[in-house]
Amino acid sequence: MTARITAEIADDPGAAVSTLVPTPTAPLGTEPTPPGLPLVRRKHPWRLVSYALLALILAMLANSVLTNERWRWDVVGEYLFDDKVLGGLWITIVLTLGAVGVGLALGSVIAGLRMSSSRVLSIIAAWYIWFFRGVPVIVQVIFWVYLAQLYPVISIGIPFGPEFAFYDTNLLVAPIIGCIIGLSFNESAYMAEILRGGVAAIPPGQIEAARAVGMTPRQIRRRILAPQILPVVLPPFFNNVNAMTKTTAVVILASVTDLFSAVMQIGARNLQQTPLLLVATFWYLVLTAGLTLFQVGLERLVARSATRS
Amino acid sequence: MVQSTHTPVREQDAPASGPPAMVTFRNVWKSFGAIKVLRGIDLTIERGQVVCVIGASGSGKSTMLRCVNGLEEATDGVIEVDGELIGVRLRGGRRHELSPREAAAQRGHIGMVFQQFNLFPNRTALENVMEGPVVVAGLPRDQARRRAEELLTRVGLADRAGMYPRQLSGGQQQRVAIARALAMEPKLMLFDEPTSALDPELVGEVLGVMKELAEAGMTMLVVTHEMAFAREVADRVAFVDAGRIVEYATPAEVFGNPTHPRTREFLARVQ
Ligand SMILES: Nc1ncnc2c1ncn2[C@@H]1O[C@H](COP(=O)(O)OP(=O)(O)OP(=O)(O)O)[C@@H](O)[C@H]1O
Ligand SMILES: [Mg+2]
Repeated sequence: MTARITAEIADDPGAAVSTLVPTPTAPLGTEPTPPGLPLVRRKHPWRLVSYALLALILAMLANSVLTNERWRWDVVGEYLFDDKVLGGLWITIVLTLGAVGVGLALGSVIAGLRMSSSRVLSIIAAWYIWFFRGVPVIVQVIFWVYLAQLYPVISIGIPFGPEFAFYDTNLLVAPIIGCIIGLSFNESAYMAEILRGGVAAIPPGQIEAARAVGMTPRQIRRRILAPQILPVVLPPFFNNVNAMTKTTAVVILASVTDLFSAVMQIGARNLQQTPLLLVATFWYLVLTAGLTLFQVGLERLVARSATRS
Repeated sequence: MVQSTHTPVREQDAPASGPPAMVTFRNVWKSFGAIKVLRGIDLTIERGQVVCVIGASGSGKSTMLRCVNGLEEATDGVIEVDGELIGVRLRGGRRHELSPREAAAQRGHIGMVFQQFNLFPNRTALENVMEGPVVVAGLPRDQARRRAEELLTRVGLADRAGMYPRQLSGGQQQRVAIARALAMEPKLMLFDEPTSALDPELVGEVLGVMKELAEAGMTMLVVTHEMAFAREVADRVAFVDAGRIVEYATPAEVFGNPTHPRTREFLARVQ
């Protein structure tokens, strides 16, 4: 079809186009009819070549991985659903949800302070973000777990005055709680910046329009900002959660047995480190795949409610 | 200071006789950093009056309008709307800032229409109009819906109620914005160049709605470049130059016999 039109146009441009698309359409008063010219998409022959090449490379990789005995897929299968591995997986999930949940709550407050009209509050929030984003997570986690070395007893009271309550630090801050605190502070700094970016993306006219109908700052946050920020912050938010599922592996240094720590312990005993790392890889990929599915669903939902047509 | 030429700023409102004017600017100044944008605005708008503000770009028209509902706070001087000071309380010769809640409550009674419409993109036309009555005035949803439907009918958009802003033309969006402002049953309407972002053929439909509103007795303060509209609908025209009202009279006087040289210059340029 395409070829024919081009050929005809090349031969006799005026004639070909006018026979295909009769210009003087229906006389006034009657229904006009469309010329009925279907559109033919361009062909992409090189794509087929690239598909074939990719298939070849994948086949070579699969061949090498499956036929090389030393990958020890039998060991992978044996430990995939091992109790210790599943227990570690559960701890990884708890650490991630804890860090993201607390981090989001704390981050909302910090973002609010950062955007406050009070310069003092805004600067304090900026310092907070600088500090907790700047100190390596691994340092922050270990700090909280070994808090007892600094403060064997935690007491509540008036600074430099009387104290009311005393707690044994080791009892109050179990290693896993220490890990969640450490991860949360770090996470909250990132969350605060994600939320601030979301607010910055809202045209100022939206806030003015809300103020002009008489909304209070609280009503503006809930009714105008929240729904419009959501589609903007979801991708960076999930980016962060995805990173956090794997960042939790730092707790191995705090003697908390998460997924990574579990496979390392088993590997140290049976000296099959590589297959066991594959076990961890498998579960991390399952976790992030689940997250991605959740994200895609949520983004669709938000997009639909924002721009239903 | 030339303080004596201005209406004095009273500490307590409620004048001795009759209802107060709808809007009173009392020696209002506004600076952004070192730039003085408003330099002593005095203006009184009576109930039911339509005042059009004209003037060159950057002369301070928008700023003046935005001070009326407190989107911009005056650097000095005060504005009263219906006898109530906007955004502040006078005590001991100082202006004490109102709480965000109090300021929000004042804005609820003053409708505003923006040049860029500023409709909420995630809400339908109907929901945009319902938003204020439901969230701010606490009206039950079915009542708010009924009021919104009436208002959309009034601006000629009953059949577009379920559409989102991006599915509406500019003129239709602006008419929804007018309905949204009216939904709060304002005692005063502010318009900041409501037709400047519109294609010429869409200007008429918006001006038509505004004219009907004026005829229904609404008090309106309108910043506009539509001289024909000002001539026909306005009771008074204020010409603003470099942050001051240099000419204030009936449209016939301002357009027919401008006294200030800057007004003459401006009118010669736009006509
Ligand atoms: N938020 C702001 N910060 C700093 N300067 C501002 C701000 N808003 C307005 N200005 C300045 O104040 C002056 C008056 O602005 P305004 O928007 O009131 O003008 P206008 O008369 O409405 O002009 P136009 O006809 O172009 O809309 C301009 O010089 C502008 O640059
Ligand atoms: Mg303006």
